[in-house]
Amino acid sequence: MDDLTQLSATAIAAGVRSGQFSARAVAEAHLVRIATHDSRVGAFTAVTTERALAEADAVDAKVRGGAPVGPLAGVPYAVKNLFDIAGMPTVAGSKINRDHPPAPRDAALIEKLAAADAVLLGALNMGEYAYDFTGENAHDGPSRNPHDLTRMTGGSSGGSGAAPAAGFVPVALGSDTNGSIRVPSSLCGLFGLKPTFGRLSRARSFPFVTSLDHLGPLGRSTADIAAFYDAMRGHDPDDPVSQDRPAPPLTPEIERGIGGLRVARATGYFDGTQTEAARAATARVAEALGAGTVEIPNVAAARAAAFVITCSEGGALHLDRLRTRAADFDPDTRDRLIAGALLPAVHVHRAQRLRRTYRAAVLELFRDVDVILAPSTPTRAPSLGQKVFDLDGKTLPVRANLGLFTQPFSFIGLPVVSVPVWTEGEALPIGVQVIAAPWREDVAVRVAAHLEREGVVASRIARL
Amino acid sequence: MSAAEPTPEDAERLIDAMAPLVGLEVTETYRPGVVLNLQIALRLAALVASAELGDHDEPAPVFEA
Repeated sequence: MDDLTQLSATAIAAGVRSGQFSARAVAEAHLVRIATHDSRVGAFTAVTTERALAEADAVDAKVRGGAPVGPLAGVPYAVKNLFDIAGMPTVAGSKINRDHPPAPRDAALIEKLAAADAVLLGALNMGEYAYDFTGENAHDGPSRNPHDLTRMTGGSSGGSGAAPAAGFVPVALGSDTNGSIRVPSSLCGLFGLKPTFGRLSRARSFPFVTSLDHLGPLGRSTADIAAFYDAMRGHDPDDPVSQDRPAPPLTPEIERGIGGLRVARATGYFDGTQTEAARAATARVAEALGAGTVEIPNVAAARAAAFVITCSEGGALHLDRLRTRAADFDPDTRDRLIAGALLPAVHVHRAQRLRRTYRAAVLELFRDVDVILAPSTPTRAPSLGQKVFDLDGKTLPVRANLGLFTQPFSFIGLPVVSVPVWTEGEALPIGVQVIAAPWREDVAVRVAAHLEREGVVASRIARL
Repeated sequence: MSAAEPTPEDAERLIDAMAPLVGLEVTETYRPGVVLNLQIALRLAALVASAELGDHDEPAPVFEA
């Protein structure tokens, strides 16, 4: 094998299991690629070399000894730096949390991946405290889009978008409160799965908005993110919103096709405020699926409600830090969080009531459709440092509006796969959301896998 | 706060009233950013308020004892 960093997660696991190559060789190849290129990309904030090699050696010992190995044997991955990694402070993109004591134990999802014999390579850059759609960070510098290093990765899981696109890992974990998995997936050309709210455990990850926080994988193929989801699923009483319900594996769905699925492209709100690139990508996916159309009611108010809940809960979570260490925040995050802390409670309560009525209205739509399509972002990757963009004649702040199309779905916890579309001759990708009814990740994954097989969507490793 | 598009003055008044009550000092350095973000939040809160809700539309979070 010439370059192990070009392989998918599933190919790596198969190769390690069969003895074609060792987990150590896989880990070392990825660590070399990180060491060679990450100073220009800014995906990692910590590389856990010693741990990675120890985990890889343990997998190789199992293979040599004929012991059973896990489904992700020797597969390298990395996590947004809001996941606890035992022995390191969980910085969550901040300067302030660097003073925290080292985490005593890994995050729940890391423990699940370790049990599946995956190999952790390190912690990834992110927007401070996850209040971000850009991937920029005043303390660590921005994560840069591997497909064009002058552009944003999107955020807040910026490093989680950069690392798979740069070939540093096949899969990364991120968090998504309002779009922070789907926005970087769109801008970096990845498949990103935001599962149903309450599906994957958030235990021992640093919170942002407990009403809306989700965790999930970003990777270069549907099969890879499905394999990671499969290894991470399952109820966890340590996460108060984790639901104890059946969670069938997604991998068997990959080859199932889309027979019988009713697909509709969301219109109205989702037709406006975007570039032609976003419109064209969604139209291309819709055409490939023979999609009809559907109009979701009250979307603008729902997105507004997600915004209100986010800034208020975020402000409340960080209130003590805002009182005592305001100067140590990233200025962009600080001003938003202070504003959130000052917002009258009546607005937040009303937003939570709207959340329930909006959920009921959208669930009603799922009587007639199985899948809803919408753009993931209104534009391809903006330039680093860009503060505003012009969308359909309106000048809007980038930071608040990259999630314009993702917020209405995470608001009610729907499972979504963001799929990457590349237009012929374009250097940058853009994503389309494949949205399913609650707990139907299987449906979104079937559609994503079908689109991938048909060549409508694809991921690429950037040339660095 | 007026029902129309929130002005910088609306945000300024809210800061002056609320910040001391929650123990926050909004320095001159932070103030313009906070004003801008409060204006956005208040505009979006007004959009939420424009959606019709009945007395029996309960909030989303459910506490399980």
